[in-house]
Amino acid sequence: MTHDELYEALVEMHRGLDAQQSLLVASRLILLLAQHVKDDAVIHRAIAEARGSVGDGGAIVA
Amino acid sequence: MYQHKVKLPYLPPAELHTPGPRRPVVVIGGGPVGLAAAIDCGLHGIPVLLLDDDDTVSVGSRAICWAKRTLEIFDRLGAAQRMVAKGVTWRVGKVFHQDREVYSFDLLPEPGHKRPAFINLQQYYVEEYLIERARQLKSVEMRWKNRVVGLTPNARGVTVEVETPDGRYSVEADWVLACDGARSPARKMLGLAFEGKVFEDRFLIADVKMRADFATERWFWFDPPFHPGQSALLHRQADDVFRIDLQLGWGADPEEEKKPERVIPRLKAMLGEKAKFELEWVSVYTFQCRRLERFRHGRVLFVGDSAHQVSPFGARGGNGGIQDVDNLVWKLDLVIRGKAPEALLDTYDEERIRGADENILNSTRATDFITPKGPGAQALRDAVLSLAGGNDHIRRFVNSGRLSTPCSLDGLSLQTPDTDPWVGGAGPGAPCPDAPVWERNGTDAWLLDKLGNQFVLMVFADGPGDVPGRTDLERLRSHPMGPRELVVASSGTPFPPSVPLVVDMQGLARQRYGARPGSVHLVRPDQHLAGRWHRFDVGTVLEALDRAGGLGAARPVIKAVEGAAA
Repeated sequence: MTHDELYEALVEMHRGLDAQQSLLVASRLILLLAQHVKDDAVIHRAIAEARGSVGDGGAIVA
Repeated sequence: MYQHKVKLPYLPPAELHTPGPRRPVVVIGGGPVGLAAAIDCGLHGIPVLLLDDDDTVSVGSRAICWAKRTLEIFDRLGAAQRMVAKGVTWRVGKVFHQDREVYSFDLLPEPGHKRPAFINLQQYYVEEYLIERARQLKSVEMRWKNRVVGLTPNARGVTVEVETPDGRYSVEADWVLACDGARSPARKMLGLAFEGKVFEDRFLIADVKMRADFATERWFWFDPPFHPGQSALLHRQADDVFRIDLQLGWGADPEEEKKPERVIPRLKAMLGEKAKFELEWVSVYTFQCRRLERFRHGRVLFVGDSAHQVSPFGARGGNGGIQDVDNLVWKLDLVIRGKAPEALLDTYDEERIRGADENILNSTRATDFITPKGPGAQALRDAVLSLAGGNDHIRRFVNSGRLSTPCSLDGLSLQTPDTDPWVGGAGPGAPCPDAPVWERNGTDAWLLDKLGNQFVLMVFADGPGDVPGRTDLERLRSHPMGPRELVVASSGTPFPPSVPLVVDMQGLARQRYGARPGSVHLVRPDQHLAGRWHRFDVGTVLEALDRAGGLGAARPVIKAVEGAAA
């Protein structure tokens, strides 16, 4: 799958959902994908990188 | 407001008083697509009448980015040189998020191609140069202020009703090419549905004349400090004109946003308070992606925006339309001359619907990235941008437009699939790659310029022993598709002067075609590959010619007689 195809599939997953529903669906997706990751360190690194400085008051995203 | 005043002459047509001759081809619309179609017909010696409702070249800001493949097609039409000289050549794009660069791309990372990845040139120059080229061709007649108001298909062709300042007349045409743009009156006259997706967003498009030392690159911003929460694009054109594209959101009022008192502060925020610029053109757009279900409707063929419409991210509108022309006109020529059945034109649908769908898919994806629909898609997009700066994998999701690349016709019905093992190189259906070559006398030349607009059998050879024999070549030439041969030699010395050849002095042609001595490549008149073989066999090539010309399996294929080759 190309990057564009994966992105399109994810956008499709969110189609027609409100913010709360999208958050639920995205969280379910994370849990489902995480069961395929065998290396705990990968998950911990991804969690740290995903959190980054979000919530620290900096403008990470608009 | 900029006025590119090229006044095109209107003369009252003789048909207002006396019935005129039947026309093999009528082209509706004198934009880049219609003009290219008329020139291509003219080069094939088909008498063509082009009708346009206006008497000026295009006004304002329309297509600006012309891709390498389009320039190669314009080369075949004899019109590219002036465009490249006047246009601005570029190949690098940069994408910014807020105040940082997150991504850059180089569209032509290797040397040894005649044409650059892209030039930017205002549509009115492209039209002007195409009109001048068309005027050099005896069989092209162009009529301005001739508006087509009726199309009536009949048993032999189409009756075209035309309105002029001096009244109406009608023309009988064998074939009509409707190149009359996204709002195509021809499409409405035939009552054809044109459905697809409308993006709920508005974009301010401003063409601004200014002296500025911005790099000649495509710059795209997501959420920049000067236009928070929206996207922006800056792109240089000829004559110090810059295309600026500012996302406004669906709630924007298009009439209000066009007013200079609204536009100028937005531009100053972007360019700086002190920037000196003149507004050449301002408009507010909503984008759509849609196409006709079929492009061929009997003897009316839809070409360019009349057949398909895309959002502009990726420069796939004008470039897609020129590829339509490239695909269609040689087929029409064969059909008009009775060398191929009408069914060959159905492959225009097959091949260009693939192209249109590819363009629609890519421009839809880009527009979905730029204008996320709903909170989930918005969060996904913002997540990509926030991670892209430090992560090569995530960076590749960033989509500010996947720029036009030529469509491959691989696997479609006119191409002969590979049977030999090939290592790399352009395969069946691919557009022919260019390469630097020498003429026999050592003059620099380009391979694509040597292909022209008819079928060619390219033969890669070290010596005369790698070239098919005279008898076989004569059999090929007597085929309705009548290919001529072009030897791509590693050195010119061993060949007699009668052999048409170029010298692949750097070996780049051989590399780009995956060829070895003795390999043969069958090239269509639109410079796409119809088939390739490591070893020449006259029967196999004749079969491929039948297929490429839409002759199907009906023609008996006679095997070459052993030892008959000279």
